Amino acid sequence: MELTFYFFSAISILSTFCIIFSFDVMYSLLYFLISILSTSGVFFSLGAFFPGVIEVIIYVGAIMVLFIFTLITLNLEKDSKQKKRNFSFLINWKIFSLIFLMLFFSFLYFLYFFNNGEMNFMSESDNIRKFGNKLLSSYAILFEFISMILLSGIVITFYIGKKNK
Amino acid sequence: MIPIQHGLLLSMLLFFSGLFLILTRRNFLFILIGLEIMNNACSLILVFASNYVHQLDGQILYLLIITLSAIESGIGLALLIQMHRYYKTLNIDVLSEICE
Repeated sequence: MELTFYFFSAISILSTFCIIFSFDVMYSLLYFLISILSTSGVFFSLGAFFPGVIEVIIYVGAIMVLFIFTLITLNLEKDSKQKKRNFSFLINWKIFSLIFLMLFFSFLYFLYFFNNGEMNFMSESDNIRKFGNKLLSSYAILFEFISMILLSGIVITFYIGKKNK
Repeated sequence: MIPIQHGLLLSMLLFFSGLFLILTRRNFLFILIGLEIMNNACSLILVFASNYVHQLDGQILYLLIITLSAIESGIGLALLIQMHRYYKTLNIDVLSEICE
């Protein structure tokens, strides 16, 4: 369990750093795909099977396909030709120091205030049944809200994306 | 037996790399990818917390957040298509008409 957790989290962090240093949109989408799959591996190593499966289905099956389909639909040859490989954004010291300071202080906060927490493998075999019972009994109104949010998202996407003369 | 700091550090590193991607890039598609990374990091921390307290409520909130992330990417890509239709580019600096 520990070995798989650290292995998949290292792959996830490495591929997310590769997105920052890549300039081609297609390559960065593929690195994002690797990051999502390794995050799903982290969920499986913790015993949360349902979030791992949902992560693969939603992110890889819906969001990545949507991004790639948009990328195919638009003709982005000009933009990719203008992009030269310059790393001048790394010298932007204001943003870099801001991010570094926030990272440093949150490291300190986490290391001092969460001293004795442990995560174990959730080994109960009927986790998914408990999840379904809880989702459809005590969180039923949240479930209905999810469906209404999906419907409103479809309507807004149609309204924004239509071609107006 | 994984200490919970390691999970929090993983989530925080992913979150700040997404924030760095948003703040430094001028391409709209990279900004959407950065938003997805930040959403993913926030949902990661919910699953870690639900594992820590041995309750399944965090996973239900994870379902809500991942639905919101899918809707957000759909609306963002519709806006991207409209922007490419009007301006023929994806550079986000084109849209700064007020502060010129």
